[in-house]
Amino acid sequence: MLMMVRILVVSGFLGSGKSSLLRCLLKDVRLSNARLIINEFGEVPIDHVLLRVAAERTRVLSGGCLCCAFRDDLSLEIRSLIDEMRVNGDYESQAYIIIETSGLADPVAIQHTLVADPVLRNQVRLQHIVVTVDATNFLESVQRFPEVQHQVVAADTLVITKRDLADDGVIETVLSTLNALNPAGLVVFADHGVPDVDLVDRTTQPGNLALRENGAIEHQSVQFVHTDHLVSGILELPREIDWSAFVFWLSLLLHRHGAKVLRVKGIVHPADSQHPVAIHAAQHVMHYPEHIQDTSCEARNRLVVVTRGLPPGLLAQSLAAFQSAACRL
Amino acid sequence: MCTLCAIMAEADHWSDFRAAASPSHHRHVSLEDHLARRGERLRDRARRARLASLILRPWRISVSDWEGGMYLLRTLTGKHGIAPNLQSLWVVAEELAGVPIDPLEPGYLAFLTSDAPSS
Repeated sequence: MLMMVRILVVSGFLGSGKSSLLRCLLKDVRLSNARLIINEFGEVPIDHVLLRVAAERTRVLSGGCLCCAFRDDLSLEIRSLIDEMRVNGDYESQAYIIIETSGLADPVAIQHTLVADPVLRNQVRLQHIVVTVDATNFLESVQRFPEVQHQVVAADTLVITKRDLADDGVIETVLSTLNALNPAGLVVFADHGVPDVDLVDRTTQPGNLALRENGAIEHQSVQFVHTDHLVSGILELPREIDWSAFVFWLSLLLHRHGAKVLRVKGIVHPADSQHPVAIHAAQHVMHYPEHIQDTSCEARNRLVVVTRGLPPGLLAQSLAAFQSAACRL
Repeated sequence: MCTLCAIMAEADHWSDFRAAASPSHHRHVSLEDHLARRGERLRDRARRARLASLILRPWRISVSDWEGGMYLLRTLTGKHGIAPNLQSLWVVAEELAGVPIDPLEPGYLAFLTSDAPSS
């Protein structure tokens, strides 16, 4: 059986505590053989010094951003790390590569590199995207920097740092903003870099699709001064869907409105399948769908969507229209 | 590459994922199994082509399956194009239609939900 190398992405805005979190993660025994790729925007890298990790396990890409300047470098770097792990015999079932992005990176671009690269897509599996959120200045930076908005929306887990430096009221607002921007994301706290949940074994799906179980969830939107507002919502799906019609709908939606569809994530139940299927898309990047064996998530026929200005109600209507077209075949 | 028609094979696109296949059939497939499921795949593909024709009817584009590997798109005036997967199907369809195809346009949604006969 071919082993897939698991990739953990640690992202977050400048100064939001990525390195502290990483330092704590690296103490985990499961990551003792993990390789590390650190990307820094500045020309002179310092993060790897602060991390105090053995140099042979760490690659540094500095003077640009992984998501734009270094996309080819990133895939070459991952390939060479995988080769090295094979040679060293570290390439077993639990092989990990951790990527720390620069503070300005859009994690979706990194996802795209992993999904689109013809070699990598068969060797690595994006396990999890962790994004750190600085409680003290998140509310200001999310207004001013679209990078922050993108990072939050792309995250599987959001780690709030510097809780002790912020008022309770601020924390409340941060929590509600995060929930509105990324309803499918899990929000946890980290004090001095130590997260209060296990971040290593979490996967992008279906584990953290722990959508709130209180039934109807209204659409939420967050207004920004300089950019279009972000809208999130949950589309309730019929118990069984026509898979082909669903694929037509989603591929056309991503084709025409991909730039505005920041996230589609959820579990659907195709009528002709015994197992539910996990769906995971970010902008134009769609992950290969996967069957889920876990029966505990059967009830969750829902899709979480986060868009820039497209009303979730309209998406639901469009999805239903494609389904009804399939019934006429 | 197909040596007869000089068309490059495309990498597996996500939209080609078949929900009906059992999970074990996605990564490692034996040749026997692959051949045994040929009929199933072709039926699925033909149904998708019919569905595409229905969805693209407002632009008078008809879609047929071409050897289980490509979608063949044709307009009433004889313009045509081929697409290996759904991602390129929309690109080709918009080229033939000459206008963007918007899945959120209310008039189009009304067409999809209308009870017009399917043929």
